[in-house]
Amino acid sequence: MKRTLAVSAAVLIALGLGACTKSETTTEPTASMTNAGPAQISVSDAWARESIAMSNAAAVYMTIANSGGMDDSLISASVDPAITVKVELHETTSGTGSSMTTSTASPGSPSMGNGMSKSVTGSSNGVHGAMEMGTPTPTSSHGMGGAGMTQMKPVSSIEIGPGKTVKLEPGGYHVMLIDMKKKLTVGEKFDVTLTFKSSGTKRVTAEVRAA
Amino acid sequence: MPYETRTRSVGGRKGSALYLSLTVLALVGASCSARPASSVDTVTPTSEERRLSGALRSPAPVVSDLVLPDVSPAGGGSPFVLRAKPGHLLLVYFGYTGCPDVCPTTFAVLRSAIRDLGPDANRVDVAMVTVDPARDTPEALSTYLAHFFTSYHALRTTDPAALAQVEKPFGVRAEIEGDPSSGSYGVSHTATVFAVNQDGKIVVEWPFGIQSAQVAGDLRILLEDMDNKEEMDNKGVQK
Repeated sequence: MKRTLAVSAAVLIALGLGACTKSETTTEPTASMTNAGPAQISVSDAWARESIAMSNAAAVYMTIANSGGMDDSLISASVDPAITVKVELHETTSGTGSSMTTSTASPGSPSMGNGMSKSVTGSSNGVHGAMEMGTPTPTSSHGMGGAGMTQMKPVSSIEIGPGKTVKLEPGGYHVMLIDMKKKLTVGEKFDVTLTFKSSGTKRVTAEVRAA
Repeated sequence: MPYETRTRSVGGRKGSALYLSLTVLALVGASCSARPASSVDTVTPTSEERRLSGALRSPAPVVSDLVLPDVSPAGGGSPFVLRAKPGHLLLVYFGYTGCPDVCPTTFAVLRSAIRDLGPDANRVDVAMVTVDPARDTPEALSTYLAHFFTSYHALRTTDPAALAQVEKPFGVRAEIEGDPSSGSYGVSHTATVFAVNQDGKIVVEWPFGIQSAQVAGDLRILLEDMDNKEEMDNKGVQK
């Protein structure tokens, strides 16, 4: 019995080996399978939102995976100067997502004076999210608005830890194109050159999608 | 990374919220006649709170005493009162056209939600208040909105005090980040969408990250409530 098992296993293995190189792709490291080596960056699904009306700014989104064993970070990006020379890494932060459960004063607005903050969030009316089935009581003394301020600010780098995948997506990180000289239209493709601290530059093609 | 957590938490609730709202809908349907007549006049019956995906404040703020110039071609700069037309809902958003991330994402969600309403789509109107009047000229604001909606109200005042007065009851804050003279500054702002009814009451508000199906679901409920209320009012008149 043991022998038949061993034989069939051997046959299966032989078949598997002989099949094709396809089986090898599954053993390639993925973002969740880290190796001990240096950072290994792969970028996928790069897209930009089409230019809207007269707006001369647009955001580029993508998924960055690091299948290596060491840290890396995206430190800059550039596009064809005919589109723009001004490209920044941005992060949108907001208290909205968490305000449905635990409303706190908007984080990350140090420049907001106390006086102003008080004057606009002075409502003591409770706000309760209808999603919060278990807690129908007011969750905050700040209005939704007070907690829900989104802020878009430049960041110097976007870290991609070993084995991590970071999504640049609406409401989070994005590559921001500023003072654009050219409109982006749906279906158009353009190259984005990304510079990583360890892995150097990578060029990806972004597709322009409808807003 | 904090953002990833956030999106997951919003998305994660979606299914259960939908399920629960369906359950609650069924319960409400069954117990409709038991609802005290007075509940129609109160701002937020408990049952309603549990049906909506968005949030509501109690008591609901009233914003119909607020007026801003509507600089859209249709508005022609005439004063616009912040309340919905009879039988309609008015969605109010504070933003700016140089906003490349949050604003277009939100408008795409609203557009999709409104389209989902089918024949009722024309009962939902959209108004955007610019928090960046210096750069958002009437034309810039109007063409931006026209990109998403066939009809819209482009609300703009260059008087900071008038803008602040409108922001206050909504609980909205906005602040220029960086050097205003640079021309490429950002504006931090509250990214909530507010639904206002014909009485000028904020009947629901959705945070950034809400899905269009959730918005559409809430709009359907609110429009249906309005129809039911009107029907009841008419019956009252006939008596």
